[in-house]
Amino acid sequence: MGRLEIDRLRKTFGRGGDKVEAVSELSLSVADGELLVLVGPSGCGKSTTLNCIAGLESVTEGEVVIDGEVVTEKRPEDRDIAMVFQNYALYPHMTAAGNLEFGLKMTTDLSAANRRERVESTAELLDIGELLDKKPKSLSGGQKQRVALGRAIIRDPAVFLMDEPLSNLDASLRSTMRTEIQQLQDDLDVTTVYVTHDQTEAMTMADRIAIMYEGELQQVGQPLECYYRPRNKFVAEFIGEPAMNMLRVTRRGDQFVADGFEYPVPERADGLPSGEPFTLGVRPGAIDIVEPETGVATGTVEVVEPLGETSHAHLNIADTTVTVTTDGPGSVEEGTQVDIDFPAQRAHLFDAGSGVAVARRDGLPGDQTESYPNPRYD
Amino acid sequence: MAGSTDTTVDGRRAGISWSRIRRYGYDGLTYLVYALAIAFFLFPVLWVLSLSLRTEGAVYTSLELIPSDPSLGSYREVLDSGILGWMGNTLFVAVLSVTGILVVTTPAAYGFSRFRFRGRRTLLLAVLGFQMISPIVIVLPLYEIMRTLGLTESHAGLVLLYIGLQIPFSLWLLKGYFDTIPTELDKAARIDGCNRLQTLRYVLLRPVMPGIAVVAIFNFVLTWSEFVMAYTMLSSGGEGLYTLSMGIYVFDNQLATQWTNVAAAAVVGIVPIIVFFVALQRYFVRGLTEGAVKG
Repeated sequence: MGRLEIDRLRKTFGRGGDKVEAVSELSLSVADGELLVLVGPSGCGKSTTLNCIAGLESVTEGEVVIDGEVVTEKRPEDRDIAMVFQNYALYPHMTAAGNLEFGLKMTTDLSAANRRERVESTAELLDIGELLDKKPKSLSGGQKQRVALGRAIIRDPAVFLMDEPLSNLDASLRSTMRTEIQQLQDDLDVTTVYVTHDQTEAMTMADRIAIMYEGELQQVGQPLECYYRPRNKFVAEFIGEPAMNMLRVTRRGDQFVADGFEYPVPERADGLPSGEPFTLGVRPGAIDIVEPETGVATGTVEVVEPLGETSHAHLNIADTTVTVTTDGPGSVEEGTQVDIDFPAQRAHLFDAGSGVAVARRDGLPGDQTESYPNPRYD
Repeated sequence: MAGSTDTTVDGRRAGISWSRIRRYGYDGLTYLVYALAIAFFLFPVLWVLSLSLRTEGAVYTSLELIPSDPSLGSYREVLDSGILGWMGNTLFVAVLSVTGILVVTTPAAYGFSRFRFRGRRTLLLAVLGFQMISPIVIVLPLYEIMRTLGLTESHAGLVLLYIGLQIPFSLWLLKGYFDTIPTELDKAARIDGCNRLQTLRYVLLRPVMPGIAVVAIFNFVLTWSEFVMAYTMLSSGGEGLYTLSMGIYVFDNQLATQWTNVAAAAVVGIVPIIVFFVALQRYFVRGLTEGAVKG
C-alpha cells in the first residue's frame, strides 16, 4: 500500500525581501501503485516538491500524508520512501552490493545473511548480479542507474521518488531505461512520483502527469488529456513537440480574425463575446496543407526540417510563424506559398489575458464520452 | 612540373624541421627552468648533508660538495646528545596536534559546507581574518595566556597552541574539499537512514580522505619543524622537554658552534619528513589540486 497525498503544500526559501516561493498551495493525490510524473521547466518547483515529500526539505505550510499517516514532521527514513537521484548518488567507496545493502543495514535489524539474500534477489531482478563486487567508478552510466534503482527497490518502500533519473544518460540508453523503469514499476506496483523536465518522458511513462510552472500546479491528468484538453496556454505550449502554434485573434461575428487569417468560430465557442481578443492554438500535426484558395490562411514556407517520415515546415503568415507537420520529403518546398486548414475540434482557445482555456473540446479523439475520466484513479 | 613538386616537398620538409626545432627549443627551455628550480631548492639540503659528513676542520677549508674524507663522527655525537628524545617529543607533539586539528576541523568543515545558518559567512570570514594574523605578532599575549593557565613548559600547552593556530587554514582547505562532494550523497544517506553524524562518518569521510590527508601532512610537517612557538613555550622547562628544532638551536648556540653537529642534527630531523612526504605525496598532490580546482 502507498497512497500519497499532498495537501496545500507551500515551500519558501530565504527571508524578508529575498523570500522566494518555490511551491505554492500544491495539492495532489497519488493512488496506490500509480506512476505520477511531475513535469515542468527548470525552477518550476518540481524537485522541491519531491524533496518535501522525501523529508529532505522542511515544509513551510501544508501536509504530506502517506497511507493516511501525516509524515510532514518525520525524518526521511521514517517515511517509508526511497529515492533515485539524477546523478545516481552512489557511495563511491562502497561496492554495488555495499550500496544496495547500506540502507538495510542502517534501518533494519536484518542479519547479514538476510541482507545478502535481499541484495542478491534485487540484483537478479535488475540483472546486475555480476556487478555486485564492482565500485561505482568502474560502472557505466546505465549500470550505475540500475544500481541506484536497486538501492531504492531493496528497501521495499511504500513510495518511490525519482528525481530526473534518466537525464544523465545518452538518448538511446534513456529510451531503453524508460521502458525498463515503466516495466519495473508495473511489476512491483509501487506508488511512484517521477520528476522530469522532459515532456516525452512524462507523456510516455505516466499514468497521470502533473504540470508545474512557477511553483503552481497547472494541470493534473492523463497524458493524452493534457495534450488534447490543456487547461491553459502554458500546458498547451509545454506539452507536445513541436510546440503548439499560438495566434492572437479577435472575434468578429462568426469569425476569429487576425492579419492574413480568418477562422470560423467553432460551435462550442458560440458563447464567447464578439470584439474580444483571444489566443487560438493549434498543434502543428493538426494542420493540413490544402488546395490553393481553399484554406483559412496562406503562408510562405520559410524553412523545412526533414525528419524522415515527417517534416516540420515553418510558414510565415502575416509575420507570424506557424509550424506545420507534413508528410516526408517533397511534400512542401521552401519559398512556395501554401494554404492551410485545420478541423474545428483541434482548435484550442485561450483567454488573451489570463491564458486560461475557454470553450474546451469535449472528449478525446476516438472517445465518445463527454469528459475523459481516468478509469484507474478517478 | 617535377621542379614545382620538389619545391613543395622541400618547403614542407623545411616547415616540419622548423616546428621540430621550435618544439625542442621550448622543451629544452622548460627543462632548464625545472633544473634551475630543483637546484635552487635542493642545493641547501645537499650542502647540509655534505657538511654533516665532514670533519670539523674541513668545514672551513673545503668547498667540495662530496667530502674527500667523509666521516660519520658528527652523527655519532649528535645521536649521543639526546636528539632521539627530542625527536620523540616532536613526534608526540606533531601527532597530537594533527589529531586535534582533524578532530576539530573535519566536523566543522562539514558543517560550514553543508548547513546554511545565520552568521555562516561572517564566521567563515572571521576565521579567515584570524588566519591573516602572523603567530609571531601574538606570541607574547599567547605566552601570557598560557602562563596564566599554567600550560607553559608542557607539551599539552604547545599542542593546544598548534591546534588553535592551524584551525583556520585547515578548516578552509577541508571545507573546499567537502564542497566538491555532491550533496546528493548526503541526501541518499539520509534516505538510507543516516543522521548527520552518521552521514559524515559512513558516507562522506572516505570520499573526503584525500583532503584529510593533505591537512594531516601539511600540519605534521609544519609542527615537526616549528621553532618560535616551541621555543617560547618550552625553553624554560629544561632540555628534556625540547622539540627537534629547539635541539638543533642548542647545537648552534654552543660556545664554539660545531657546524658538523648542527648539520647532522638537521639531516636527522629532515629525513623522517622526507620519507613521510614521499610516501604520501600522491595524496598530497591529488588533495591539493582537487580542492583547489573544484572548490
